[in-house]
Amino acid sequence: MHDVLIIGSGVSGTSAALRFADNGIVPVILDVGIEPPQEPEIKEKFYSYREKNDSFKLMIGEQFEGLNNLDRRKKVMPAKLVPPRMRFVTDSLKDLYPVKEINFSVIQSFAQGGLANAWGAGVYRYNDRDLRSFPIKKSDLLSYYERLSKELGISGENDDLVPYFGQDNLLQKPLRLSDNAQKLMNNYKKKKKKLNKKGVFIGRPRLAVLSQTFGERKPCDYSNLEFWQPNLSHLYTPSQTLKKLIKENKVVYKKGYLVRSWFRKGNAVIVQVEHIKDRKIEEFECKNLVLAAGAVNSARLALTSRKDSNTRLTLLDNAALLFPFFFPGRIGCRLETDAFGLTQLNFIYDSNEDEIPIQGSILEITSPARAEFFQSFMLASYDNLRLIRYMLPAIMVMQLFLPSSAEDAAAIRINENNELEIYGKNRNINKNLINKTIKILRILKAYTFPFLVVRAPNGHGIHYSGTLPMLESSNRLYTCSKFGELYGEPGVYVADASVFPYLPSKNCSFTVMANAMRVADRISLLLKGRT
Amino acid sequence: MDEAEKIFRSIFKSQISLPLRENFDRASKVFTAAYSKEDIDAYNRALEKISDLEALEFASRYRNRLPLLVLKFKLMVYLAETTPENLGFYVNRKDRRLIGYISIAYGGLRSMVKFIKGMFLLRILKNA
Ligand SMILES: Cc1cc2nc3c(=O)[nH]c(=O)nc-3n(C[C@H](O)[C@H](O)[C@H](O)COP(=O)(O)OP(=O)(O)OC[C@H]3O[C@@H](n4cnc5c(N)ncnc54)[C@H](O)[C@@H]3O)c2cc1C
Repeated sequence: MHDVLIIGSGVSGTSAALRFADNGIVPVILDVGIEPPQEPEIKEKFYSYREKNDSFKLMIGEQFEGLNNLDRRKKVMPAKLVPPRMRFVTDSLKDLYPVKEINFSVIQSFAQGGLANAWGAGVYRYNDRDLRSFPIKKSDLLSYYERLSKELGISGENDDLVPYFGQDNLLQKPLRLSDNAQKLMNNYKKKKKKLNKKGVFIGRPRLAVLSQTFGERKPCDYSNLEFWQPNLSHLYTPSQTLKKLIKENKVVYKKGYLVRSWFRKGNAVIVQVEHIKDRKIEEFECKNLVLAAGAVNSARLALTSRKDSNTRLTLLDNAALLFPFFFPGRIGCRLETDAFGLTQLNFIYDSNEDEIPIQGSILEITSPARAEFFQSFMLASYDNLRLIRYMLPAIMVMQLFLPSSAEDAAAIRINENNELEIYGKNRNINKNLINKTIKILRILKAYTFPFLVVRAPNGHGIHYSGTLPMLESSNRLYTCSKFGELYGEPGVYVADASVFPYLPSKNCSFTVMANAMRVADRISLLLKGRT
Repeated sequence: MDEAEKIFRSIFKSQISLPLRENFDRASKVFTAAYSKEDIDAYNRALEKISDLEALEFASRYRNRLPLLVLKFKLMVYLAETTPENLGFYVNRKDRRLIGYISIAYGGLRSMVKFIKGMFLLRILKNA
């Protein structure tokens, strides 16, 4: 009988495994574990490569994967998940694990390392304001955040955003800013007093992206390859930790297994799995089962294991608003072909002590295909090309994550055919927030208009959570104790964002990781006979 | 002129390369398969009868007409970006602020004319 079985190797599963390893326990990870395609690494910068080489295979692919968003009648995917080399991240198991989406577009991963193979690596600590609906406090997470900082390598700065992101003394120096981001930062500095009075703060993001060498990993080379090539050395992914743990025999990793359900037999938890290749069923026995399959799949497993097709569970996500904006003075400038193609700056709008602050990521758009923007421009084709050439270098995008809302949350259930159904609800977006944000951008000499603001489809916040929430004292099915133990299921723990009862306006994965380590610590203590 | 050549010329005002034409033809087959016979017929008629496809596509985009023509234009824009010889259409390699401003302003005016022309072409096509 295994001491610990973990389902999933994403940020949550891998962080739990890391903590077990710290505690001298060797867990077994069961995972579907799809791996990236074996393609030669692009060793040049993205744009220099493209000047010399036909990039059809890199950008479009033989199966036309890169054209996923061409026909808007089909399911649209976030641009970062479309390129051929990134498709493995969301390769679905349509036949084995069907999902029905109703007014919701779910993004799931069955890859080794999970969704974070394609993430933006924004790693933000929650503070007590963020955690106010949680049964835990910042102090419960602090030591885990620190342990993770040592594992991931985080660049950033202890700047105006410290009250929101916390002080981190292990930060590497921040990445070089793009010209647009530098301009925005300069404008912020000039208008700082006025903006701070309005509750607006801008600063460097905390990114699990290296600006300096870190162990064997190299610093960011500003290659703009973030959208195109998985496993970049400078950008942390859970696979890096997983591979290290496997090499050091600190984890047993079993891939090619789809976990179907579990049941209890005496003190043991029996996990039923299906081999992806031959569909054979096998059983694993353990003392402790850790669900880290992502908030959707962990909930699916909980419902399936109870053969419950009546209960609907809440599924939270951050609704995402995209504000493209431009600097008139940068129209016609050269495209910054050597840049870091993801988050450059963070924006906080904290208008009122009683309200949760709104956080935005200000993104450079040098990495995605230029053609992705063609459909957003409104001129004739030849003139749209001029906009792509002369206007895009002046444009950045701010992505605002809105706090989750219980009233507008989606719901999931298992139907009688064992399919997962997800029902989305349209959320009313506060127009006032849009108008205020546009005004703030104007103070920063960055311009946009309400009709350009885009609401990402339901589900494209990709911060799924809340399906199996943790409570101070859990008292009903499908809730967890504050240590992540599922009610009525001794020995079954939840380590992913399922346990988050609420999502503040902040990327959640760093806190998911810290909490997974906390859950692992609890199990380790119990295994060692101490509470 | 064949389909790929016509569409490329309408967008880029130059001649299509062989590898791009091949990629377009292959992709085109796959994407066309998802459209109805009516859409395909309307598209073929447009290719045959109208010389200013750029104007026609522009008006169609706003009028929700000729979906296959709109799709093929987008397809060509995606595919052409992967070829080194067309990268200059997408990437501004030097600071050219004045040219940038002038071409965007001129592009706005040009697009207005194209739109009006496109609306006429849609009517001609409907009556043809
Ligand atoms: C484009 C993009 C950008 C993002 N940027 C950020 C960011 O900047 N900051 C941030 O905080 N978050 C970001 N996120 C979100 C973040 O990636 C996810 O929240 C996080 O990766 C979720 O991790 P997880 O471990 O809970 O689940 P997942 O990553 O979904 O991993 C699930 C794991 O479980 C396995 N699994 C699932 N079901 C089963 C089963 N039945 N049997 C066996 N194995 C199973 C899968 O194979 C996989 O290994 C981003 C996401 C995307 C897609």
